[in-house]
Amino acid sequence: MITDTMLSTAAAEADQVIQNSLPAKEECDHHFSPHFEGKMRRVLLKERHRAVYQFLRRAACFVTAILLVGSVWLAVDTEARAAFFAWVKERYETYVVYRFAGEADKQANAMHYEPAWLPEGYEKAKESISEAGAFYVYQNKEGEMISFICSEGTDATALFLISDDTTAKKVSVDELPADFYQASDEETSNALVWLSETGDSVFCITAPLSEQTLIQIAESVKKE
Amino acid sequence: MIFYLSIIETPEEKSKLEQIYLEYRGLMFHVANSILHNEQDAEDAIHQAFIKIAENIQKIDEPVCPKTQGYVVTIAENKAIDLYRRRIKHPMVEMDDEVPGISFVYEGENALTACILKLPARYREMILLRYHYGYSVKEVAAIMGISFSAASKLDQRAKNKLKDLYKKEEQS
Repeated sequence: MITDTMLSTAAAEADQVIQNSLPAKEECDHHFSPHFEGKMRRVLLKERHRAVYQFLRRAACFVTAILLVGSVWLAVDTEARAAFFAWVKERYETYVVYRFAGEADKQANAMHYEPAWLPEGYEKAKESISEAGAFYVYQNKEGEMISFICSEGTDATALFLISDDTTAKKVSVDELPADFYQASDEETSNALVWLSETGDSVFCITAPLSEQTLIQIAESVKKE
Repeated sequence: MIFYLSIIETPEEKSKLEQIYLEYRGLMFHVANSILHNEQDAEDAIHQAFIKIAENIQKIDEPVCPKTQGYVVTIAENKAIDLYRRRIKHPMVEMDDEVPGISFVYEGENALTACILKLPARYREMILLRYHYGYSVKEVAAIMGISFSAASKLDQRAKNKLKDLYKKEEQS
């Protein structure tokens, strides 16, 4: 008669025997192929984004878009760092990620953008500027908010946008291609995302406003 | 409208999966390559292993610890054996028996431990995942990439084989 306790104890010992039979992990040096590193980068990215998505969904408040900063996913793949220099859009089932990978242009990072026009009644309520980019929140007397994010290609920065309750549509901002995300209900913010002409900056406006109004705000964006 | 927007800055924080990857990928490769004897195949097996680890990452509390090492080695072995079976393309090879896994020697005195270590790799992996790592049959099915029904059968066959071996061990 084998009881569960016996099985559990023996299984733990068997596992230890197997571990003892293996070389120390420091001795297992292998130069992985670039193909493997590339595939693993995608696995790690997906896991990171899944964790962010779950975190945001667990949050008590509704979150539309955030700017993620860090060199986490490229830390494992230095060759990829040199290979990429662009904002890349990756669409997943429930979210969209605009990811920048590459060496940042330090000169460009010194500059920030801001909308020159907003619908009447909105005033700046919050401002945050870092090396990764800038974001501003504007609020009217009714408490309605407009957010504006811009990021100018800091290494491994990503714009993370929840999209499971939205419909995506291609639009234009000053003749530049843009993505408009229409929320399924009026209480949720719509979002507009576009890249600069040179492709090294990403912009995102979120607000419970119409497509035309968001585009009008977007077309007013100027360098500070 | 409830709305919140934030910038998250975590330049130094590595995900749990990345910590596991950086810590154990070499060891996992060693395990897979010892079964497949082909570096490219071993990398493919490790890639598959990490996909499964990522899908079940919530079950891992501590990314770098002996238990996690044992777990990822088990998954690496499992995926390498899967690939081995696909590579030999031999439909008559019994799925669960006689596929070589990690080599080891046991000199201890626990008869049941000795029997677990004598099990075919696939059975041993099932026993370890169920009774050491605490996964349910459903979770093992997801890790191994097989149906719940197939995992239930595998679990039953592994236990039956273990009972037979243990009985013989006791009789001798």
